[in-house]
Amino acid sequence: MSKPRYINRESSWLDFNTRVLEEAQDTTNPLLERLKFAAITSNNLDEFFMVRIGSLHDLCASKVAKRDPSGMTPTEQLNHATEKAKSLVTEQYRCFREDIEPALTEAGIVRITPETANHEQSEQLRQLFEEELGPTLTPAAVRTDAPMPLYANLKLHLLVRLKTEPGQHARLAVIPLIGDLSRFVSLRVPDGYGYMLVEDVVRMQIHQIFPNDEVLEVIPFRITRNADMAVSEDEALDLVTQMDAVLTERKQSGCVRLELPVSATRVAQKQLRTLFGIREREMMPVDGPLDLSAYFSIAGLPGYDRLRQEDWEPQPLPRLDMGKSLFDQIAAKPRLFHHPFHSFDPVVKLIEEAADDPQVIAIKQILYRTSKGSPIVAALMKAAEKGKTVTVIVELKARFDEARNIEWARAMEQAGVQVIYGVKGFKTHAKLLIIVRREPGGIRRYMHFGTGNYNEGTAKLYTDVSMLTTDAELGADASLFFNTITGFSQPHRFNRLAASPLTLRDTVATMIEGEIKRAKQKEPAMIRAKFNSLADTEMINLLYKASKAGVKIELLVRGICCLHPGIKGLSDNIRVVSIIDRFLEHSRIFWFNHGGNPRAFISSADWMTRNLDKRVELMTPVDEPDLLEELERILDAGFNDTVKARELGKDGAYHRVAPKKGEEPLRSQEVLFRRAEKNATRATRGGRTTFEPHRPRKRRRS
Amino acid sequence: MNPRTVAVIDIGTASVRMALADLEENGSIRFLEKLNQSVRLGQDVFSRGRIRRSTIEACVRTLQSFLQVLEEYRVGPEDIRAVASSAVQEASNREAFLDRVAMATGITIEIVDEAEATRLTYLSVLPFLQDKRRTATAHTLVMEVGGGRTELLRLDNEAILDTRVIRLGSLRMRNLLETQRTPLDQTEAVLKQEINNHLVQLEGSLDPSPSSMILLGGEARFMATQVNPEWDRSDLQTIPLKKWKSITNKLLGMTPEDLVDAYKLTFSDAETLVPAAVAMGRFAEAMKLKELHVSDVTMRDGLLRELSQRDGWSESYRKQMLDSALQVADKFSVDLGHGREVAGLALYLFDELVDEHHLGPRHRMLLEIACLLHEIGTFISPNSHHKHSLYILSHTPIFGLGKRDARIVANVARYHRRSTPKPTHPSYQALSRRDRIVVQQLSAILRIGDAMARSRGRRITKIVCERKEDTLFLRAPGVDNLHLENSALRVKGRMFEQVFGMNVILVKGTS
Repeated sequence: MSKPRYINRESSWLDFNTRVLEEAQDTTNPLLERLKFAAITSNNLDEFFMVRIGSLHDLCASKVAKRDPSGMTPTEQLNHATEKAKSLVTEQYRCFREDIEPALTEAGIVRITPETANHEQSEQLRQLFEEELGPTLTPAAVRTDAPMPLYANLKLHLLVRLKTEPGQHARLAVIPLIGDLSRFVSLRVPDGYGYMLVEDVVRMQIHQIFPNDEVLEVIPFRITRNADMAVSEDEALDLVTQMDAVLTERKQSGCVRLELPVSATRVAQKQLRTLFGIREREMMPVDGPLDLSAYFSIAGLPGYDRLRQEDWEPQPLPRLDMGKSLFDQIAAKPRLFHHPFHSFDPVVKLIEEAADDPQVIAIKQILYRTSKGSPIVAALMKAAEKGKTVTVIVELKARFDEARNIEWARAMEQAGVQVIYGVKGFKTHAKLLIIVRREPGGIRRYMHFGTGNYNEGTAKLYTDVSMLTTDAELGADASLFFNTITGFSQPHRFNRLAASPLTLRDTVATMIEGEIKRAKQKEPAMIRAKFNSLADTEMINLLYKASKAGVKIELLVRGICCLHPGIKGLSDNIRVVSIIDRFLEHSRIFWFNHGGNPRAFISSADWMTRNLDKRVELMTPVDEPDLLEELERILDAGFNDTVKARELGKDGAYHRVAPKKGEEPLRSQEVLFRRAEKNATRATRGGRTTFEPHRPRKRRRS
Repeated sequence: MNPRTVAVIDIGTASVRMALADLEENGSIRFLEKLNQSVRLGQDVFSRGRIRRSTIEACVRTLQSFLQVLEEYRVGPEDIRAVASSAVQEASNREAFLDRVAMATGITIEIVDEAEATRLTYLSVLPFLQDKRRTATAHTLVMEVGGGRTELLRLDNEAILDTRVIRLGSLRMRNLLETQRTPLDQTEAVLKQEINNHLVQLEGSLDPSPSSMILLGGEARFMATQVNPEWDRSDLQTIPLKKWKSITNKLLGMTPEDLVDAYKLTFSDAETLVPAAVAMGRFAEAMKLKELHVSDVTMRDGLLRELSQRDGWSESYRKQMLDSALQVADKFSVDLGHGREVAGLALYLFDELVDEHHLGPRHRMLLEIACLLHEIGTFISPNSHHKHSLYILSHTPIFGLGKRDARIVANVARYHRRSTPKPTHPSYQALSRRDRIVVQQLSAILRIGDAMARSRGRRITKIVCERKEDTLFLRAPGVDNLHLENSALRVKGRMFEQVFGMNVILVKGTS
C-alpha cells in the first residue's frame, strides 16, 4: 500500500500527547515540572476519550462505514486509537512509577499506603475517617443483573466486594468518592511532605463501613462517558456530520472507558464490565494511582521551588509607559504583544482606563473563556454603570466553563452591560475588543485583536499574540464584524479583516494560491504558519498543491497534524515542527512571502474544518513593518528550536530536532523570554537609553 | 470644531442600510460603520402593491437595532437622514408605513422621488466626473438598475444633459420570471425582451450616444469583484463588455439557489443579480460601448455629501440647477432680462432680511429659480399667467428640484401677483405648514423685487436697506423718479407688510 496522503487524526493527537509525556520523561526538566506534564497527559486523555473516542463509538454504532481521509473505517480507527492510547498510558505509568515517584520520595514528597503507614499515621487516619471522611460517604449496594446506576463522569469510585455464602448472589457495593473530598490526605513525616490517597484511606478503614462483613476486595475505578452532543458537534465535527440525524438523540451517554488498577482480580474486572455493559476494549487497567491529573496540586506544592523551573515573569512592553494614558500611546503607534513573554496587563489596563475615560462612548468585546473575578469583567461593569454602551458576547459553548460563564454574565447584565449569549449555530471563538472614543478629531476606535482568550490566568501559561491598534480600516471592519455576529447587519465586504465562516477560508486559500502562482513563475515563494492543529483536508490539499508547485512551506503545529510531510512528489517542500515546552504554544500566525513583501496575519482560527466553517473566527493582518518583523522573529525562533522541537518525519513519526554540530542548543521559548526581558530592562534603565538598530531585513530565498 | 457624526438610512427595495460617518469641517467624509439588513419591501410592493404587516415590522425592528448603534455614538435625530426609494413610494399603504415607523422609532422617512434620487446619484458620482483623467470621455451615461426603477443620468463632462427614470427594475424583472415560471434556459430571452421594450422607448433620446458608461449598484459591484477581487473601491473598475457578457452567460445558467451557494450571496441579492447584469450589458451593447465602468458609490454617499454641505448645494451643483432652469426658460420663451432683474433685487432683499425669515441657501436657490421663471405662464396666455406659471412649473422637471422643492417654486411664482394664498387654493393647501410659510415669505420678497423692476428697464440696479422701527426703507441710489415703482409697490408690497409685519417704503437714495 502506498503511503497515505493524510495522517489519521486520532493517531496524530495521540502523538501530540506522547510528546507531552516525553516532557514528563525528560530528566533535564525539574522534577515537579515533569510531574505536571504527567498530569497534563492524563488531563488531555480524559477529554480525548470523552469527545473523540466517544464520537467514534457513536459512529461505529451508527454503522456508517465511511472511511476517514487516511483510509480507515470507524471501527479500525476506534481499535487503533484505543490500542495506541493504552500503550501511551502504560508508558505514562511506567514513567510515574519508575522515575517520578522514586524521585519524589527522594525529594521528601512521600506517598504512604495502608501497607507502609506507621502506627502514628494509622491512628491519625482512623481519627480523620471517623470524624470527617466516613460520615460523608454513601455506599450503595449494586447488582450486576439490575439496571446500572448513574455514576458521575471522571469521578473516583470504590468497588467493594463482600463475601457471600456459597450459592448466594455476588454482593457488591459502590462508594462514590465525590463532593469536596481532597484526593490527598496529608500526613506527618519527618523532613518532608507525606500524603495518602483518599481511596487508600477508605480502603484502610473499610471495616468501619462494613463492620459485619468480610471484605474481599476494595478497588477504585473511574468511568469516562461520552461527551454531550453540543461539545461533540464542535470538537468532533468530522465524525458527527457523518452520523444519521437519529443519532443526535444519543443514548444516555455511554461509558467509553473504565480505569481500574491492574491489581484488581479477574472477578472484580468481570463484574465491573457486566455492570457497565462494556467490552474488554473499554477497560483500562493502570499500574499506579488512577487519574494522575490530580497530581497538579502536588506539582504546585508550596515550598518546593527548587524542584521547579525558575519563574519567567511576563515583561512590560518597551516604550509603552503604563503610567501614562494608553490611548494616546496606542493612537501614536500600534503595539504587538507576545504573551506570556509580554505582560497581559496593558490590555486589562486599557479596558480599565476606558471605563473611567469620559471620551469613551462604547466598548464591545467577545469573551470566550475568562477568569473568575476577572478585572476585565469588573471594568466592563464599571463602564456600563458610568453610562457607556457596553456590549459583550459571551460564548456559552465554551465547554466545561458554562456554569462559571453564566454567573458573571448575569452580574454584567445587572450592571447594564448588554450581554449577547453567543451566535446561533456557531461557536464564537474570535478574540476582539473595540473601544469607541469621541476625540477632538472625531470618532477613533481602539481595537485589540488576539489569538488567545481574555483570561489573565491563561495569558500567563499560553503563548499568544495580540495587537492594539487604531487603524481606521480595521476599526470599520471590526465594527462590521461585531454588528454582523450580533445580528445588527448582514455580512458585507471587509476592508482587510477576514472572518470565519465568511471569508477566512477563501482569504487563506487566495494567499496560498498566490504563492503557487509565484512559484510557477519561478519567483521565490514561501508560506510559514503557526497554529495548534491542521486537519482540514481542503487546506492540506492546497498545501500539497503548493509544495508540488515548489512553494517552500514551514509549519509550526503544536497538536494534530494530518498533513504528511516529506512525501516525494507530494509534500517534499513541507516541514512540520511541533514545540512542547513549559508554555502551551497557542498563537496562530500565518505568513506569506508575497514576492518579498511579506503579508502576515494573526488569527483565532486553527486550520481545522470546525474553525473555518463552523466557528466565528477572525484573521487580522499585521501590516506595520516592525510588528510584522516581530511576528517573523517568533516564527524564526520556533523553526530554529533544537531543544523542545520535534519534527514530523516522512515516516509519519515525530523526531527530536538536535542542534547541528558545533551549534549551541536553542530553546525558542527561552530565547523569546530573554529577549523580552532584555528589551524591558534596556527600556527602563534610568535616563540612559540604548538603541537597537533596525537591521536590514534578511531576504529569504527559496 | 469637532467633526459631526451623522447617519444616513436608506430604505431600499431589498434591504435597509445605514451608513455612519464623521463629517469633517473641510467637507470630507470619514465612514465609521455601514450596516445592512435584508428587508424585502420590493417583493411585497411589486407583487401585491402594498407592504405587508410583517414586512413593516421587520423594517421597524431593523431600524430599532440601528438606533441602538446610533445611541452608542450619541447621534441625535437632527443628524439622521432617512430616505426611502421606489418600493415605499409605490406602496398603496405608504402613509401607514411611514406613520408606523415614525411612531415606533421616531425616525421620519423622506420619500426620495425620481428627481431627488437622480440628484443624489449625481452628487455621489461627481468626484469621478471631476477626475482630470477622464476629460477625454465627454459624454457619460450613469446607470443604476434598482429593484423598481432604473435611473439614467446623461452628462457632458460635469454638466447634466438630462435625467431619466424608467420603470425597469431588477426585482420587477425577477417577478416577471417567477410569475411566468420561466425555465432557466429562457431567462435570457425573457429578460432581453423586457429590456428591449424599454430601450425602444428611449430610442433617439440618448443622442448623442455616450462615450462611456458608469454603473452603480450592488449588481454592478458584484461584476467588478468577479473581474478584479482586489478592486480599489475608491476608483472605477473597468470591465470590457466581452468579459461582462461572458460572466453574465455563466450566471444565466444558475438559479438564485446556485448563486447563493457559489458566491455566498443573500437570496435577495442573488435574485436581482442576473436581471440587472443582463440589463446593464444590454444597454452598453445598444450604445455600442466596448467597456463599462463600475463605481462603488451609493445613494448614501450622495446623502452624506449633501449633509456635509448642510442644506446648501455646492457651487457646481447650483450651476447645474440654474442651467437647467435657464433651459426651461428658453423652451418657454421667458423674458429672462426681466427675470434676472427681479432675481437680483429679490436676492439682495433676501440676504438683507436673513434675521427676519431665517431661511438658508436652499431656499435662496428656490427663490432665485422662482424669480427667473415667475412669468413662465405667459407662454400660454398673459391672462392669469401666474396660474399658468403654477401649472407649468409643477410639471416641468428642473434638475435638482425634488417634488417638494418644485412645488415651492411653482407656488412662489404663482403668488407673484394678484391674490395672496387662500384656503381655497388647492396647490397651496397641499403644501406642508412649514412650506406654506416659506412660500409666503419668498413670494412677498419676489413681489417687492418685481415692483422695483416694474419699468423693465434695469433702472434700479442697487438698493440699500434701512430699518427704522416698523418700516423698511429701500433706497435706490442714483434713481430720480420712482413714481412707477412706488405705485407698483403700493399694490405689491401689501403681502410683504402682512408677512413680515413691516411697512416698506421706496425712497430716493443719495448717490
